[in-house]
Amino acid sequence: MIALPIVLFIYFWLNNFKIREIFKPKILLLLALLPVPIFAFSYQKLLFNLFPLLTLLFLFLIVRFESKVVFVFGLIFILLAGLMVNNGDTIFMRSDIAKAISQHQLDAQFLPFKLRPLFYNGLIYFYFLLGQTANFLSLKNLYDLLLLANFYPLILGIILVAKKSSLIKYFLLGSLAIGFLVMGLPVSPSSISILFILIPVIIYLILSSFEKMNKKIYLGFFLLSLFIQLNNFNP
Amino acid sequence: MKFKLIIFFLVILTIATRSFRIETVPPNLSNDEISIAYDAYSVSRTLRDEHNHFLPLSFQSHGTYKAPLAIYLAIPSTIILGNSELSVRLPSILAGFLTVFLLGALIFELTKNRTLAFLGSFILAVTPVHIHYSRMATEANIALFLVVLGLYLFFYGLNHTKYFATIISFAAFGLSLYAYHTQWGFTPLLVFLLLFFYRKELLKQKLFLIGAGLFVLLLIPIFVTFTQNIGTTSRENTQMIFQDPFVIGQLSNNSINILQKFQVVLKTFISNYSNYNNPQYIFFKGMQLLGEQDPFQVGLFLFPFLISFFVGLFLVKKYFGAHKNFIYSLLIISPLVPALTTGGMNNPRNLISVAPIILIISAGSLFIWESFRDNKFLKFLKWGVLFLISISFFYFMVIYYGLFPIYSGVNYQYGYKQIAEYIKPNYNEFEKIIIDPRFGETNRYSGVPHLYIPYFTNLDPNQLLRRKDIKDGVIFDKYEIREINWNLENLKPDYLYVVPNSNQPEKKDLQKLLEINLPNNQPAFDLYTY
Repeated sequence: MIALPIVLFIYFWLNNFKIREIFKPKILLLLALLPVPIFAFSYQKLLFNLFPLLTLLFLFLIVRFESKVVFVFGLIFILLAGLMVNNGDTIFMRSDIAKAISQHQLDAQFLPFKLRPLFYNGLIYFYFLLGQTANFLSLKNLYDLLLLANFYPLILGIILVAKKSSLIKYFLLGSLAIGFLVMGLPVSPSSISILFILIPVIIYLILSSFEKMNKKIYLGFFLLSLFIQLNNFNP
Repeated sequence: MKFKLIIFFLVILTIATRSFRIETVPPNLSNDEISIAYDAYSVSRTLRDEHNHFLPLSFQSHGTYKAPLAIYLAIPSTIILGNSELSVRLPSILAGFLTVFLLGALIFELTKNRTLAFLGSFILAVTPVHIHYSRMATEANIALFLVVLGLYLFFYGLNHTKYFATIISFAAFGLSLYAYHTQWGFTPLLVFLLLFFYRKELLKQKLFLIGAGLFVLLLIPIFVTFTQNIGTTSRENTQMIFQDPFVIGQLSNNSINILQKFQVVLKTFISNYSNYNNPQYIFFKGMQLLGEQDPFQVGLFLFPFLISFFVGLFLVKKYFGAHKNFIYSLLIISPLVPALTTGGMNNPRNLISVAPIILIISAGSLFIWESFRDNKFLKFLKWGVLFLISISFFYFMVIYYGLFPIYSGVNYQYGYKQIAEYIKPNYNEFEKIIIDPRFGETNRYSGVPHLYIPYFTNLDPNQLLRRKDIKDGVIFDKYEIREINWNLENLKPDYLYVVPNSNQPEKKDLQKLLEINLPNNQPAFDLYTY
């Protein structure tokens, strides 16, 4: 439920807090954001539910003051918040990975003994982490969390933001990058819990593109998304 | 001079990666490869395939049907080189080699950017999935070659007003339908896209209609074969999404309405489509060279190119200009047909995606490279990136040439060639050779020794044409391929019994002649006589 006030705040913020924006038809597009699955998520711990508000605060301060200090603290917050909400075992504790390292060192008889640790060592954990992070970027994962419809304005928003030369660009893209990396850390990654912290970033990117996007295409995708999500047939 | 050096380096790299240890990596001819190999051998001698069909356009194989081109292409090398891994794999090796340079030529035709073209060729040359399937007799690899050839000729013809090249491109597209069944869905879509996006250029010269006509002409035999095989176990009927057990269950569920049934199919398709586009599958795990849970997996592409891919997605317009819509459409349609099939992730079916992905990775890589050039710190970083790419490629080589053949013996039915190598010089010593086709732990797989043994012993193909099918087996020449139950077996002297290691006889009067181990030293097969 915290998503709704964030959506409204960012919408008015992007429109310079003009009250008359309420009466414009394009506000109806906000309705398309309501059924987004991740916006209905909430943590059991109340403190964690405040994290998106802190993200929004950092976002606002960076845009308002263009402060590098705020920017750095903002990214550190995203990292720490992400680690806090995923407080289970990380991939660095997986025994099967350690076992695979020693097994491959044993099996790699085509390599001189002293060279085997060069190829089969703990660096595999970081490779595994990158792989888990990449897994999050799958189409199914993204549309399960954001709906297929919002993929389009999100990508458009990223393109528009990437063309800017301000600090906000680095904060938006940097927080997404950090969030994705942190997502790969847990043994059982829960992408929704990290993405929840980044709700303001995602909403900002989506709403930034509302002016430029093709509304008909968006509506078409929205109807398709609803159609796909209506029933729980999960292959 | 620099240009020639780069070409020379690319040639050496491509040849080396696609031919080094060709007979042992992969460790044996796979199920599909032995089918292609044996049919090529049989047709080369008798003009008939394993099932006694005269010069078929569709080859019956393992309960389904295969496209014919890979088999017919393997005939010359089989005749010249004899029966071996190299003779059946050679067409795919050549196709893979040529694809590397054709893709570079295609990029040059699309962009007139020589650096981008070299980059594209280089990236394909070091791409794990392309290296692997260029080393195997893969129908999909030959199809990929024909599609890339078709695309190159198409754009070359348009750019240089050589409409004859454009006409020939349609022939290449048509031939790709004979190379692999996935092309039946993909190639018509591709041709449609080309006709749609380049209709203005094509309509300027009516000669292109000859090309379109040629394509339709090549479609006719395929269409006839398809209609003849409807309702049978042909691959296009058995591998579609509607044969998925979950989908079948839902579609036959009377408590859900037709709209919900459509949702089931749509969701299954979207899930499959998403899986084929999953960055983890593409850049980290897709090759599945090792066990499924093994963390040392390799992706279809080297993982450092993940960044290039995502950057490249936004730069298609910058480098490919007016062709951007076509490139994006090619990327979108490539996994469409594999996503409509069942049976899990299948790399050969999705091999065609290599082309658009390489185009995008090349664009991203060139952008990053050019960005690094303008900044002192980034200039230093670029060498780090090059080092990372080199390490990841080298790491792939260690896994692929070192560990993969050791771990994958069972998956490639390793052991049958070794059995054949024993039988060949000792053939006349045995009155009968009985082979139990089971293999693997707890005998859970059923192999095809009736193809491996005749192939590697150069048995007259007419013997297999005269075979007699028995319950759960087949008899031909002095071979009987059936399960052996030692308790019920009527043991006879001068008989050779070949069994999986897990089927040990309790009788002590059997003499073990040979024990065949997998590359990982696990026992595979035992040969006994009484």
